[in-house]
Amino acid sequence: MNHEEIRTNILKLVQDYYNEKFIKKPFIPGESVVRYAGRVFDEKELVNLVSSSLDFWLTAGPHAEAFENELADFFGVEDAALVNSGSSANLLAISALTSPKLLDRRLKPGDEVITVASGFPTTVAPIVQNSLVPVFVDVSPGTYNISTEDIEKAVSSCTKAVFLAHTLGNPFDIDHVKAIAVKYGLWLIEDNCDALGSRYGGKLTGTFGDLATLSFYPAHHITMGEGGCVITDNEDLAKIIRSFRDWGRDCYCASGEDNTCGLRFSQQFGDLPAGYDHKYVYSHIGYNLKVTDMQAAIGREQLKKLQAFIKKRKENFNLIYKGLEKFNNKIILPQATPKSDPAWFGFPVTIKENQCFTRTQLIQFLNNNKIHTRNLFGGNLIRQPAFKDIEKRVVGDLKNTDLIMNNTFFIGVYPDLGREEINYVLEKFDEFFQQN
Amino acid sequence: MSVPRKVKAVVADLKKYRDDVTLYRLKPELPVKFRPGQFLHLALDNYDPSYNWPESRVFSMADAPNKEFIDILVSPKGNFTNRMISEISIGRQVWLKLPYGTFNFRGSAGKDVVLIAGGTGISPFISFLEDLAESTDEYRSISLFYGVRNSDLIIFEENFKRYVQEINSFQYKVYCEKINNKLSFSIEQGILPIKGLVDQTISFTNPVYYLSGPKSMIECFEKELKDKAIPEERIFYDKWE
Repeated sequence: MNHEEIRTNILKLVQDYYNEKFIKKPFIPGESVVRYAGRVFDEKELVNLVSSSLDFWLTAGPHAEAFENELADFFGVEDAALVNSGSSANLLAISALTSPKLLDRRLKPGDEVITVASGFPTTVAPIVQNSLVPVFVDVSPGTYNISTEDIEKAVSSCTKAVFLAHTLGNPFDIDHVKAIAVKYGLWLIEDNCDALGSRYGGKLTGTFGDLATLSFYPAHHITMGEGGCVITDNEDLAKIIRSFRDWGRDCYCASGEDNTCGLRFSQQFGDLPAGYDHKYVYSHIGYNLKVTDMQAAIGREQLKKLQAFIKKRKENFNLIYKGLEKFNNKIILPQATPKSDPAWFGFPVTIKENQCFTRTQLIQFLNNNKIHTRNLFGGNLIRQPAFKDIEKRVVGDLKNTDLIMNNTFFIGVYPDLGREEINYVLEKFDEFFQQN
Repeated sequence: MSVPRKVKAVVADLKKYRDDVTLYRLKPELPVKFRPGQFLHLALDNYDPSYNWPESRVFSMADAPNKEFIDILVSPKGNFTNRMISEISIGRQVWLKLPYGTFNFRGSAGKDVVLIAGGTGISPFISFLEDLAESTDEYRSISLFYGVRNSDLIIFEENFKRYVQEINSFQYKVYCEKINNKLSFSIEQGILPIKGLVDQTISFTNPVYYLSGPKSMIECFEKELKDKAIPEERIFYDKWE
C-alpha cells in the first residue's frame, strides 16, 4: 500500500472506531447523566482530527487559516484570530488596546474599564493583568446582564473601555451600552464566549464592539477542545491582535511563509540596525497563544454544525421555559433582553428570596437525580480570594450580584439533550417543587 | 488589514504591450477584499495547503476593489516574471494570496494629494483613482505625475482622461523618455523632473506625497522631499525589495 491508501484505511478505521466507541446510548431516566454541557460531535470531527495529525503540520496551519476565514465569513467581519482559549482571547483583546500603535487611545495603567462582577473570572482578569482598574456595575436578575441605568454613573475621567459578557448567551442591552461607549469615546469589547450565534436586532453579537471574543472549550456552542478567537472589523486592531498573539512580532507572515510584506530586510525599527530581519522585530510585549492545526481541524467540522446547534439550544431552552413557567412564584425565570434572540449557553434559574428551600437543596436534589448544574461561574467576583484585594471601583452595592452569587444556578440546553432528557429534568423540578 | 486569503484564480484576459509589459485580468474563484494601494502574491505553481506556499511575486492591484476581476500590470524583470510572460495564457490557473500592504490613501481625504508613479508603479494609483471615481470621498486636489520609458507604454491614458471628468480637482501629466508615435494627448518628453515637481507642488497646502515605481526613482524623490523638509508622515512609498 502507498501512503494515500494507508491514510484512507486509517480514516475508515477511525469512522468505525467512532461508531463503536462514541455512538449515543439510549437515555435511561435516573441512570443516564443529564449534563449541563458537553462536546457534541460525530465521526467527521474524529476523522478530520486524525487526518490533520497525519498531515503533521502541528502548529497553526492550513486548517487554522481556513477556520479563521470561515468564522470571519460567518460574522461578516474583517478578521478572526484563532487562539488557544476564550480566556486567551480576552487577554489578547485587552492587551491589544494597550498597544502604543493606538497613540492617545491606548489603555494605560490606571485607566478604568467598566464591567460586572457576576460572571467568569477571565473577563475581569485581563483588566487586572494589564494594570487597569475594573469598575464593577450591578446586574439585573433575569437577564443577568449589566443594569443599564447604572452604566453612565460608572463613567469617570479615567474610564477608557467597557468589557462585558453576553451572560449565558443573553445579549446585554447593546443599544444602550454602545451609546455610552460612543458618547464617552470608550472602547467596547464584547465577551461573546457564551453567545456564539446570539443576535441583537437581527445582527450577530460579537459584531457590535471594537473587539469580541469567543470560546471553543467543550462546554461552548462549538468546540475544538481548547480554543478561542478574537474577531474585529477594525483592520488596525486586527494587526495588533495578531502581533500580541504571535510573540509580539511586527511581521505578519503566516507559519512557513517569508517576506509577504516584500520589505523583510529593508525597514528600520527601534534602535535596531537598518534592515534587521523583519521576522524578528517585536513591536509588542506579546505571547504565544496560537492553536495547533489539529484543534482547528476539529473546529472546522464543528462550524458546519453551528446553525443546527444554535437551533437545538433555542428549542431546548424554550421547552424548559414552558415547563418551569408555572413555578415563577418560586424562581426567577431567564428573560431575553429586548430585541435579542439568544443562542443560550444554559438555562439560568434564580431562587426567589424567602423561599422554604435553598439553592443548595435544589441543586443537590437535581444532582442526586443525575442532573448536572453549575453556578453562574464566579458569583460575585469581588468576593473571590483572587479578586477581593485588587484595585477596583464599585458602583452601588452590587445587591443583585450577591443575589446571583447566593441563589442562581443553570442547567444545560446543549444540543445533545433531547426531549427525553428535557422531560426528565422537568419531572424532577415538578417533584422537588411539590415537596417544597 | 483583512486576513490574507489564498485563492485560486484563472487568467481571464491579458494584453501585451511593448517590451512584454502585460496587463493580466484575473478572475478569483471566490470574492476577495482589498483596499486601493494593496498588493497580492501570485504563484504559478499549484498550492497544496498541506505544504508551504509556493514561490510567488508581489503585484499591486490595478483596478478598484470589489469587482469580479483583479487587474495586475507586470513588467518582466527576473526569472519569475519572465516565467509569467512565457507560461501564462488565457485560461491558465494561478494562485493568489491577498491582501497585503499598508500603502493606502485612507488618511488623506480632504488634502492635496500628489501621486508620483514610474512605469508599472502606476498600478496602486489606478486602483485608488478607479475607486475614487465611484465614491463620494473628496480631496482638495489630486495631481498625478507619471513617467514611462516609451510612449507605447502609456497604458492608462483613457483612464486619465476619464478621471479628469469624474474626479474633482484631478490633473495629470505624463513624462516619456522616448516618443515613438504621434499621440492624441499632450506629453512631456523626458524623465520625471524630480526637483521641478517637488518645487511645483510644495506650495500646495500641506501636500501628501505618494511614491510608487522603481526603487531608484522613489529614493531620489524621497531625498528631495526630505531636503525640502517635508515631514515623513506626509510621504508614503510603495516599494518592495
